[in-house]
Amino acid sequence: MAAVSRYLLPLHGVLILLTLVGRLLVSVTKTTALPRYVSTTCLIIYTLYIIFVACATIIYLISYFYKTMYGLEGYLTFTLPAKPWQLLASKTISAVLWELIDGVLVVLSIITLVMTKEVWTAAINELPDIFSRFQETYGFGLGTGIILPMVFCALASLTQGMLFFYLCLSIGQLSNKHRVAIAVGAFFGINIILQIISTTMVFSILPNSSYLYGRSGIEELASLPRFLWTGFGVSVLLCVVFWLITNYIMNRKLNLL
Amino acid sequence: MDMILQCRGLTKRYDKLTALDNINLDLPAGHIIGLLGPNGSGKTTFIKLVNGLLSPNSGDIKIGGFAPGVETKRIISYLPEQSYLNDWMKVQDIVDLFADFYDDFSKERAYDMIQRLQIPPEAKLKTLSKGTKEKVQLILVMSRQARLYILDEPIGGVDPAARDYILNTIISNYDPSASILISTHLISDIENVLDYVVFLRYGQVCMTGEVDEIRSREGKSIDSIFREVFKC
Amino acid sequence: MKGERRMTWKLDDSRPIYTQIIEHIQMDIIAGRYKPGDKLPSVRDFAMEAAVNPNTMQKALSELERSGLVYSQRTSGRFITDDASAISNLREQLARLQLEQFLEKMKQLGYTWDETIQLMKSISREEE
Repeated sequence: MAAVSRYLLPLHGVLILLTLVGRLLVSVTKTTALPRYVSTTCLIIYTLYIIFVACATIIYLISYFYKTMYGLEGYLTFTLPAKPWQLLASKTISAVLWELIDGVLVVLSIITLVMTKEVWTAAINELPDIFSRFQETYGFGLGTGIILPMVFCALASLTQGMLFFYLCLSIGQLSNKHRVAIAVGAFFGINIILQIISTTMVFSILPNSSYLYGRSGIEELASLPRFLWTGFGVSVLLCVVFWLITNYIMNRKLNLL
Repeated sequence: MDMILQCRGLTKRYDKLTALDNINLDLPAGHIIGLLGPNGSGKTTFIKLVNGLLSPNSGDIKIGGFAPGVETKRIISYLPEQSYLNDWMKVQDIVDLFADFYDDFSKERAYDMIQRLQIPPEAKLKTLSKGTKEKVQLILVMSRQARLYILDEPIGGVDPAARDYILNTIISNYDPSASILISTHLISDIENVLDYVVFLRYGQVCMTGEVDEIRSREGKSIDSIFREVFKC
Repeated sequence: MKGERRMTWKLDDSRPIYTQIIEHIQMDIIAGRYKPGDKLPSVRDFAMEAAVNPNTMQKALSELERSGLVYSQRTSGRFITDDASAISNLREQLARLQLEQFLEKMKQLGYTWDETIQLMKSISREEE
């Protein structure tokens, strides 16, 4: 965890810094009229940086895994008296954690910039109302019915995504040549297969979900929780499958060069 | 004689190339063993298989009675040919890492050797010279109370003074219940320290035996025999 | 180590090491670099000094024990024998060996016993 934080911490520190600077600029703009180009440039810089941080984080986490498991450092990693699943678990947990931190910080950053007193007070006042009216209309809570499964889905798909990258890298290292190319090939190949399977299954298993057909009227929201929880279940299943295969490769098919 | 390592029918292929071909080997405990052979003879492949970094195509290996896994990693202390440590780590960080993972690691022994070489513990690895970095790695490996030490080319590309230090460290850390397996193609420098040798050639074992016995039988140094056997 | 500097270790790698270690220690004893009753270093220290395998050093020391030049006391270590006659016997033994080898060489060169003695006498006269 410490190793990964070495780069990711300053990266996100700068994000926080930019957010604060941005916030300052926003309040300054209210009192003095800044030239157009200043605010536009700042906005562009900010947007670019957000994209950069998000991309850099995931790229860094993936390359960190590759370097420490299948690169030269793999000689250290795989001669430690630890079972491969323990190594896999520690890498996955710290990666998912950082992805969460990244996501949360980005969202918080955007909110910090756009939040004004009016929006905030309006939200505080309206929110309980929205929740209770939702409960009346649909018979289940907005929180438990929609937000909760969304959170679980997000977590599961983060883990699934990470494990998927790890799986692809593990498949790549099976070969003696072009390891990265094969990993990329596995990435696209498996992805395509999964897409095909998931689309077929979604249409056959949830035929009643007219939500999928694009008719997202208020009435269709009722099937959303079931849809979300199914998605969560599928994600978890995929996590398990990816985990098992990766674990098997590490145990029986390790090929450190 | 107690055998620390035994393998039967060990074979490893890389695509079309057979790196190790049906290896049968018994390595005795309490010896300093030379794994000798030219580059490409299969030494490093063998070592990786012993450490569980590769899987064999057929055959099996047992170290201390176990197949390569967590139990063997606990009793094997491995020094690879290339550095496997993260350069930004400090010397004391690595010492702490080893102490965390290995029950048999002795911080006192490690720091004793580090201080005698006057290496500052707070120094980052990337600030050390190549020779010093290699000495640090050797110190880490030898500060463990393992049953099998595996050193892959420990004296290659190192100046004579460092080489003497390394050989000295090997001798002084010798333990009669453990064995040290040294893989090298620089034999004359290391001959006097070995008491058992294994010659590997094109992935096969072509000779094994006790050093003194071979010398009196052949009337030559191991290095000379090596040159004869591996004459191109 | 106290006493005079011992002979530096020059090991020929085409001969078994343990025999060379035995010879080396024997020479040190005869030349008086080791006095009777002197304590020898531990196997490990000795091996480090000679830069040899500890097992080999152990083998050499055991052989020296067997031949009576060295004795060991379980807790205190190994010592050179106090027996002066053992040492002088060794000296004579090694000297004989040298002479036998020398005479064999002279024979190969075609020198008879008398010719050899004559040559030795004239050389010693030159050295005066």
